[in-house]
Amino acid sequence: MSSWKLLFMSLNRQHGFKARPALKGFLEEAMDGIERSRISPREAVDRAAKKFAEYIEAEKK
Amino acid sequence: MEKRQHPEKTKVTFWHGLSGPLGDTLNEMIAEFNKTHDDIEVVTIPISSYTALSQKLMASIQAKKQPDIAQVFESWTAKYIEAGVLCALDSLFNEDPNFTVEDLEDIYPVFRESNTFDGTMYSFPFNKSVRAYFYNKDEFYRNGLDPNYFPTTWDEFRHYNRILTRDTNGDGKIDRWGTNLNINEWQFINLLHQAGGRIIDDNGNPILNSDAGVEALQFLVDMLYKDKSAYLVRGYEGQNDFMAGIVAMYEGSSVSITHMRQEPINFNIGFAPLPTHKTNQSAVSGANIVVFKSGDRKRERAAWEFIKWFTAAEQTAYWSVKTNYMPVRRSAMQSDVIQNFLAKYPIYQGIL
Repeated sequence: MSSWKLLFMSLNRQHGFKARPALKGFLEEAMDGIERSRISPREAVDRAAKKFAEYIEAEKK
Repeated sequence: MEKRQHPEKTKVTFWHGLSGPLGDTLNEMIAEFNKTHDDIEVVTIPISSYTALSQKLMASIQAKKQPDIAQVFESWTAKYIEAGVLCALDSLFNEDPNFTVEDLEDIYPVFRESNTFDGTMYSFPFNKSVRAYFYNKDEFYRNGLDPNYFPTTWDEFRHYNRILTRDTNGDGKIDRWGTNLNINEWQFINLLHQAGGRIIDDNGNPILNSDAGVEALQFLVDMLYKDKSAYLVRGYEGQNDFMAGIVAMYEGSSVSITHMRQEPINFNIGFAPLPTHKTNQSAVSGANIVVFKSGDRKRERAAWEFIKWFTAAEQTAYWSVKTNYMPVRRSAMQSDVIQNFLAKYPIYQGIL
């Protein structure tokens, strides 16, 4: 199993240290979007998931 | 008189990122290990932060000068496995007649699983913590709430939050709050799990934007903008405001109390598990411990001896009552150390 997979699979059980700042950043952006632009939680969480997917893809390389 | 011959000590270097009262307890325990083991000496190198520890470990691996033992997170372990620099702990404990299958099974399954990579156990749980609520019992009492009861569901928590948010001096501004929110992934992951969701699916694709993800975020948003019973904070603001009596309920790591105790606490403090929703699942945090390959099996065995000692029921129980990290073994909860501690301080029942 590749290291990126080991890293991210562990997120469901424990939060891997390296992915934490990334996920935190995306969640902060989501909350910021809600606070400033009054986007919905649905839109905010979609944005966070999209950015997290991009982050994972970058980590795979 | 014949002079007693001491065996030559095997020196084991241990890099970690613990400081303050946590580092003090670790040093105390290592001194005890060294005193009770004639043939091994554990030498610690404290590193200022986990980030610095990660960088220093990576540099040491590139220079082929890694320590014997280090405190690590799962993502680091994954990289080190790929680099081929870790000893499989299975290979060490399988050849140790003093470490049995029962010993292994005594470790909580969640810890065994998260330290097992592709069927091999490369790390052992070391300092593990969970999220917990700290609350101001005096503030509960002042607002007609039972100070010995903490809300157990999201709905109940929101209800309490509204009651505890007040303008006490009539100037039209809120000066007492139910809670504050430090937006972080740990809190969100817990809420997501409690709503029945997951961060990623089995193929590694993010699914945090499921309906459960929306529900988790909506829960926070409703408290912030609909109820106006919570406010956003950064860094240690949340803990500081709790200590100052501005906020009644504060979510932190179970270890936060060890840091809070460094200052006087001017109110009756309570601890409680997180309120739950559709499930009561929550993520465990904290670091693990690994043994790096040294090419010297004697040193690797000595490193394992320390890990075995530190995670044995007696030591993990002591570590837990001194730091509020979780004991890593089930049997530790039945030990005199923890039972006496809980009898003396029953308020810790909620988080140990």
